[in-house]
Amino acid sequence: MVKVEDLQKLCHKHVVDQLPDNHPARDAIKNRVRLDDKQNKNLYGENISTQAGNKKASLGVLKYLGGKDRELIVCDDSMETGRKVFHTLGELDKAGVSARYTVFSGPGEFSQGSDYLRPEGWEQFKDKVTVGTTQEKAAKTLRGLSGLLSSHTNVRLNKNVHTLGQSIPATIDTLDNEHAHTLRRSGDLMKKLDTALA
Amino acid sequence: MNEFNAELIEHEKGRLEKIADEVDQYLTDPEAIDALKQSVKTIANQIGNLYTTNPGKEFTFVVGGKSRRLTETMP
Repeated sequence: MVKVEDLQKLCHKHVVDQLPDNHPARDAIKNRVRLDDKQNKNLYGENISTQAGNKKASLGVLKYLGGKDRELIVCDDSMETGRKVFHTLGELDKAGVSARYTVFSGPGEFSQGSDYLRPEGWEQFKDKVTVGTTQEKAAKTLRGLSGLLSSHTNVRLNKNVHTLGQSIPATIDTLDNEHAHTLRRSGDLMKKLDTALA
Repeated sequence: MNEFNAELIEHEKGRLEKIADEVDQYLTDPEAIDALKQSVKTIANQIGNLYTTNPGKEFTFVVGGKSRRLTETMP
């Protein structure tokens, strides 16, 4: 099954490929801490609250790391999670931890967006936020693909169809037929993306 | 399956198809491809620069943190 994780790995690969051989960031990206939302644990087995999103997740990782000398690069594709970026930065700041967020979003959506996208904390922490994407079409492409992959994963995992704000049980046969096609399309689009970035 | 569920499933299928069509269109758009390539370079440079301008400093990458299922993370 094609998953959002596959898209993540693909993008990581292309970013790593841009870095020179032996660049220290290469290993860091490869060995990144990844949170496992399905088990509510990070890679080190710590329990985290996924419902609270990045705030508790990041603090959970920090707790594990136990040090305050590290700088965290917390990556997220954000419009909707924009507010949590600043909540997290605020919490980390209180804990005396240096953190930097890399946010993947169009500049208009995050740094120049509405109050919703520029919540309290923006002025205090804006220098710690790197907007990783500078062009809207890139953000829309990746967000669209991410959304597509997430959608069928959601439906498949839950054996439900989520739409119109409701959760409607459906038969697995119907979903299998539906998602066989969606999965094929997702896989094709992933290959196209890989080729385009090569 | 009742009629209501069938209708919702059709709706969902249509929605996914629409997303796939949009992504497909972007992936054949030279401007979008250029934007993606530029973004990958930008991100690599930004992350790379953090390391080269802070020699010896340890960085930790934390990726993801889902408050909703479709939140995913790029490097």
